[in-house]
Amino acid sequence: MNPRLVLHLFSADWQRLRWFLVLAWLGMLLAALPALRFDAGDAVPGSMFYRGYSGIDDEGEQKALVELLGTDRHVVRYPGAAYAPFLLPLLLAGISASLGFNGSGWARVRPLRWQERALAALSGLLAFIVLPQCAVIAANLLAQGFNSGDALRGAVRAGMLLLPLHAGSLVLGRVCGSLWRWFAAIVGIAVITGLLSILPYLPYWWRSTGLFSIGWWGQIPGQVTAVVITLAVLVLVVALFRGGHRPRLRLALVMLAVVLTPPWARMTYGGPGFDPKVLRNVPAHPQASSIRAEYVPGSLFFHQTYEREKTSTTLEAQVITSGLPEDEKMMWVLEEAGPFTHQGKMLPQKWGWYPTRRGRNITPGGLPMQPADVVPLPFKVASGNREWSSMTKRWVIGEFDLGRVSTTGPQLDMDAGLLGIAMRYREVLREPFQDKIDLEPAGLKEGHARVIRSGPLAPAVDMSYLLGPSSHGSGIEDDRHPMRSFRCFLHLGGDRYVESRDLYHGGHLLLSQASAMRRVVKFDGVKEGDLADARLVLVRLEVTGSVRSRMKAAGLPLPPARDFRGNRYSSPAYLIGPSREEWRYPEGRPSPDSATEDQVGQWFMQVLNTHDRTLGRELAPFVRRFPDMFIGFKGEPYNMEPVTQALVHGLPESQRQKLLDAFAKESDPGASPLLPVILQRGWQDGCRETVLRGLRDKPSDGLVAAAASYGDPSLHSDLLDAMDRLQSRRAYFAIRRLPGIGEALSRKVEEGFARDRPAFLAEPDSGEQALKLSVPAAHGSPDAFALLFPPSKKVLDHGGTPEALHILMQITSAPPDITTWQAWAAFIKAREATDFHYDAFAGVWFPNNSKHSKP
Amino acid sequence: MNSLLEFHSVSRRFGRSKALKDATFRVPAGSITALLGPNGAGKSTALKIALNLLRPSSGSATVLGTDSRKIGPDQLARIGYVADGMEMPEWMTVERFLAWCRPLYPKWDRDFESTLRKQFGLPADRKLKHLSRGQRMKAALVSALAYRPELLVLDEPFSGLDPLVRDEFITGLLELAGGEGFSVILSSHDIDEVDRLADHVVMLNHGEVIIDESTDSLLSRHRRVEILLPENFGNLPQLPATWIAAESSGRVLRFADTAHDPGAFAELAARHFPGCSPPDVRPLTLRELFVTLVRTGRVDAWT
Repeated sequence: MNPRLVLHLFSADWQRLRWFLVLAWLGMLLAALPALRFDAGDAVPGSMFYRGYSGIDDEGEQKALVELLGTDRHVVRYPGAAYAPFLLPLLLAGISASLGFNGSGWARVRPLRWQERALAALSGLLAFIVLPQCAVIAANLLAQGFNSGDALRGAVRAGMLLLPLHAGSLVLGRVCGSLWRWFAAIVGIAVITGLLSILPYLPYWWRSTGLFSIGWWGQIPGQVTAVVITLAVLVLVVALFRGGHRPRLRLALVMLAVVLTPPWARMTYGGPGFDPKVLRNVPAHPQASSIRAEYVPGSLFFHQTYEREKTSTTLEAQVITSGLPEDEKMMWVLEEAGPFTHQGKMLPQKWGWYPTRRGRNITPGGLPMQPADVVPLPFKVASGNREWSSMTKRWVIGEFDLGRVSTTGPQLDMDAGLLGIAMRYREVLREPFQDKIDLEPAGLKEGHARVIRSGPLAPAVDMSYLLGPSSHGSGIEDDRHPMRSFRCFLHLGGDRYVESRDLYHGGHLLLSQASAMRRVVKFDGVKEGDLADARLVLVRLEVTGSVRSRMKAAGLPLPPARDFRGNRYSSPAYLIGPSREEWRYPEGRPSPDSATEDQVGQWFMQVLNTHDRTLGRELAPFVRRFPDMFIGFKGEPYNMEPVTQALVHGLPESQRQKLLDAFAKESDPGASPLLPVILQRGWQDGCRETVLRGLRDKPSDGLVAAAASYGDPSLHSDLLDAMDRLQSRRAYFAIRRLPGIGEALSRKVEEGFARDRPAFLAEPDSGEQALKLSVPAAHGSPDAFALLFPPSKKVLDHGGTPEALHILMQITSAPPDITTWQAWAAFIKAREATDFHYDAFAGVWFPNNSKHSKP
Repeated sequence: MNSLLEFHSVSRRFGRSKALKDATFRVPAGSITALLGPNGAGKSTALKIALNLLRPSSGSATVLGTDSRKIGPDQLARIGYVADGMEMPEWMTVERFLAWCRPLYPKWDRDFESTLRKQFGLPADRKLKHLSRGQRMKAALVSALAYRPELLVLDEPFSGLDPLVRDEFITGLLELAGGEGFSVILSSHDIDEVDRLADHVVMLNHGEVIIDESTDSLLSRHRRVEILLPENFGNLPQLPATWIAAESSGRVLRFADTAHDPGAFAELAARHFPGCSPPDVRPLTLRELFVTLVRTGRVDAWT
């Protein structure tokens, strides 16, 4: 190889491309400006609310948030500018390709070695394309305050990503041989990539359409399908390119390599989501012990769509650790795919979180909406105390597609490798809640926070900061990683901590590979007067170690056939490992007679975190000595059932007044977890005023039941109003047998039906409107009953069942041979309203005897 | 005589069609070899195989003593290649283009390059894309001649050139070949172009080699014969197989003798046409020869 010739070719490339290169370099500098000039407010999202918190229902909040975030002024003023970010990479890719196809025709008969040409092209690629970008990135990082080590790491990291990508473009240019062929190939690759990106969703989409069953499809790994499709398309493309010549295998392989380079680079060097290596390489925790897994037949998320319930099964992990420090908790992931097998065949995973493969987000509706690649933050348990060390002890680590697995006979085998990551929260910032707060002490580069103390969002904080390239993964998504994310609290003095609610959380990737983040958080329920000595507190997760465990079991049962009116919580769970009793109680259960309040409190939280609704009785022995802990506990609704049961079974009569006093202080008595305790213990008489206040302000089924129990005719009007506001069958059945209320009840029901009928007729398929007919139909209105039939006979688009069918099920007596939803739906489909008659005494519609023989 | 280029039973397929069928021919050293044939005969394919721009489906070609599939920079430095419509770095000026070529060839002769540029009248500072087709071909030719290649491969070099430029080109090529001792192989479908150039002819038809012979030998064994038959001659006798393309017009019979030997011909003529006056025998031009071959159906008609 002659170095002078290499230099000669390199020089010729420079002569040829110099103006394009100057243009590209100017473009790079221009694109780097936002990074160089990064300031709070620049991190305006491209798509509003794309990554925002979905719980913004308040219109005022939404408007204020849009106003706060604004829009990208440049894009609005110069629409063409919106495309500029796409043109620069295209120009750079075009130059790379040009280095490849340059001379492929006219220089082929010149005395040049391929090594000389390749080296010259590679040198051009490095000098013209890759290094300038790396230099700009490094300069940006330095300008943004990162140290030289970070700058070098960012540059090298970018170079490692850019080099294979541009080399791929170069090779593609060489194969294509001309600009237009290269451009056509780029378009073709974009199409193929698009097809591949939707490929993982096709099985779900097809299944959701109900057109046909494709059980075999799910058995084929996605990568194999992708490669097969890619090869087929490439052979076609090559055949076309060669003008009818036979496609060459070598050419096809090169094209395949070119096509697969970008996804390879993305997978290797980060991309959305977290870097699996980060989790896998966490060193073993010195104290954590093993875990045990719980197998729950049936789906976690599909319990509303009964037809699908048997198509999936769930693996959950119940964590038991010993010796783990109090403030450390575990996050669990599946280490490898395919823990379940049936007759030697692997059950495909519908979704899950594990380091070796990317998971998918499944919405409760059942369809994967977008690849999430997200490990969620642990569930929060708000207790009004400094509780942020609490994390869930139960992880759903995967849902698996049963497909066409037989529902009879045994069963499933499991062999699952589980990885537990021990983490703890660490306070990284505590600053007075002033107008402006510097976030840099929390490790957030260029981090600033602006406090919002007036308007619909107040009190809130608008935060801007940079995430550096040394973060795990790359870019914006880093901030969703539990190890990168932080939680915000407002400390109001004493033990008063309020956790923030995310209003917006997003950002964009700067050219520097740093991510400019914007996060707006609100502190609900905090008044201006509370803010005098308030402090903003940020806490962040840090990994302390890992533990691995392997779970094996054979002959696990499939989801059992159960009462079709039941729900998943009634289904049994199957423990893989020790007995249920053994794992149910976390180690170190204190003695109810001698434990300190701290010991009981910790164990109380551990039990709650299992989310097992049946554990209330286990807590009951502790209520006697520590009634305040249970009476005063505030938690998420799904956590309150055990607390209520503990109070029902464990609170002594001597403490009745304490509970009633606490109930009297409730701002929303109808939602209070104490109300079920009062009803079950029969203590309604002691809280009449509170019940009536709630009944008139914000009624609930429980309050109606409590007020009805007084048997006071003067309350009939309030009860009827409450029933009308609730549109609830439970409230209706609570008052329908009250002496003397019958006529007024009928009148109220008829008035309500006359009012709601037009709205239902306007939207007969709406579940919300159907609910409004449930009371008149239960009350025996033939018209309301008949209106429920047409929508009941439809199958919803997403494969679920209409609300009207659920209502009919509740107010109709079905023949005893109907035990499944399918049979129930077929039963209704074969009938009309006139095939039933109403029994006013029972308040139920019965089928006419003559039609009982129908299916 | 040594051969700089030899084809041995070379075939080349493109899909189902065969561009070359078992082609065997050679280019003698020091010759100007014309590769003739109608469009689609396989001329360009053969030359591309010679330069390893295409690989033969079967058979082998030897260039400068090396298998064409193995030729590398050492061989390419001794070969000049100019093809009609060949891709050129059009963004370069003539000067830059030649400057780009110079370092690639150790034997590049700057004086000879200057001579050629003057001879072809090429503007140094004009970009190739701004040159006429003929000028571009000349620039390509300069870049292929300045290092005094042993073998010059020209693929349809005259295509699209106006007659004046073509004459200049041919004259220049003849002078150079005579003066520098190049071996040249040029393909063409225009016989007139190569008539005064070629001293060896290879003729292709449908990918098959019909003729591979020196021009002198080819023309010397072909003669045009014209005989004036007497009035009472009667029916024509059966003619020898080497007398082809016979046709009569009144009392005149014309045919081509493809294996002409003056002594043997006189004897055969006297035997077949007794009493006739001596035939008029004259040489054929290449064009006349190929027209004759076309008439007999041995070659497809072309321009």
